[in-house]
Amino acid sequence: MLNLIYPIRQSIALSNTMFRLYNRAKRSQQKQVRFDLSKTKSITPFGIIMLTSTIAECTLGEKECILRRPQDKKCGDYLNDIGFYEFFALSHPECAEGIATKTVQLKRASGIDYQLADQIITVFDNSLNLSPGVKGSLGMSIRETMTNVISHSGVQDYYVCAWTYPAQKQIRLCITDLGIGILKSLKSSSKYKDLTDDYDAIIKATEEGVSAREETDGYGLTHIKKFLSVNEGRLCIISGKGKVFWKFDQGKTLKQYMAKPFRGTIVKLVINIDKEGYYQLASEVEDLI
Amino acid sequence: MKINLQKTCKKQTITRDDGKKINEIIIDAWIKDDLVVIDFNNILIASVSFLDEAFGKLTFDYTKEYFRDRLSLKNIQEYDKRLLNDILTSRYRQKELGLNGLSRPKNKMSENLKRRF
Repeated sequence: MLNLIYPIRQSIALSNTMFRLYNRAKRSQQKQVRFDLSKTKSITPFGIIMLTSTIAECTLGEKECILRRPQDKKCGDYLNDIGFYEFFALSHPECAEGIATKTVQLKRASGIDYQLADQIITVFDNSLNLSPGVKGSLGMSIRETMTNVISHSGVQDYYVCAWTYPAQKQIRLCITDLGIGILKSLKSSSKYKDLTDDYDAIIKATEEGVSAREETDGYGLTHIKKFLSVNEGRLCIISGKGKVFWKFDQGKTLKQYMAKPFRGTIVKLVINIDKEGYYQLASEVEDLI
Repeated sequence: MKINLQKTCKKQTITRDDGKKINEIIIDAWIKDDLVVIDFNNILIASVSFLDEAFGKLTFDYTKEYFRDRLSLKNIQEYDKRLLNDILTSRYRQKELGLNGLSRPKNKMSENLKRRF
């Protein structure tokens, strides 16, 4: 049996560790994998998404997954609240449903889910009373990321995890797929066939009008970036061995190459509830309608 | 021509394929020089892909004046109004710079419209 021991804190700051565990699980020839969370005390949506993706890889490889729950009660309750245990027990698409009825923010979706954004907004709006701008931009971000997965990843299934941090007045959202990744997707277009680097591909994909589909497409990520820039939030995209982290609140963009690759794409957003949600600047936009 | 977005699209207002449906209805009406009135029913769309495909791509062939004159949007949420204005402004800016629509495949409709405008 392969035993994967998870760290005390599972977050994007430990993405290399999380990726190492993901790759060990994926490549192992063992038929059983134990996910040991006994030492874990906190897990961010990114950590949940990485765990979920790792379980999904094992399920695809027909490996049996065994869970050792966290000893920390708060962490255990958190996993219970978001429906993680249900997910773990089933490891099938019907898991973790019911996003609108309880504050579950872990979901496995397939294809374009026309209810998903509305359900997440409703859950957060009920407890946080979101401004119209934040509500709209949160919805836009979920819809565009979901559209990107379906249009470019080559797979239909993806995972969504969202959680609020009331003390920091933040919503954190993480969406991931186990598809072909950004580099391979862009390279499928003759225009970007010379791209060789995951990091360059991520940067390219966030430029206006860049899309593997048509020259006239490719605006979703640009709008998400514009919103998070005005909102002073954060955007992190990981694909293959590339990781780009825009910390708009600090005016920094961090570039990192992962020691181990992630075969799909992870998009993580940090949205400030109490900051501007409308990102269209009146001085730059004409009133055309 | 009046279009009820809720009835026409049901709840499918996210993808470019969803937006294409509205785009085609508008083009059909504008070929006859009809005024198009779209009722958004106060539903939040908040999708760049949908709005760009439905309305943004009309900028390839129609002027701002034609847009203002021949399209009326009712019960649209403030967020969508701002988003759509942003998309249209950006598309017209690109058009002025010759950055969009130039290399896309020409179709019968574009050739026809170029003659008209």
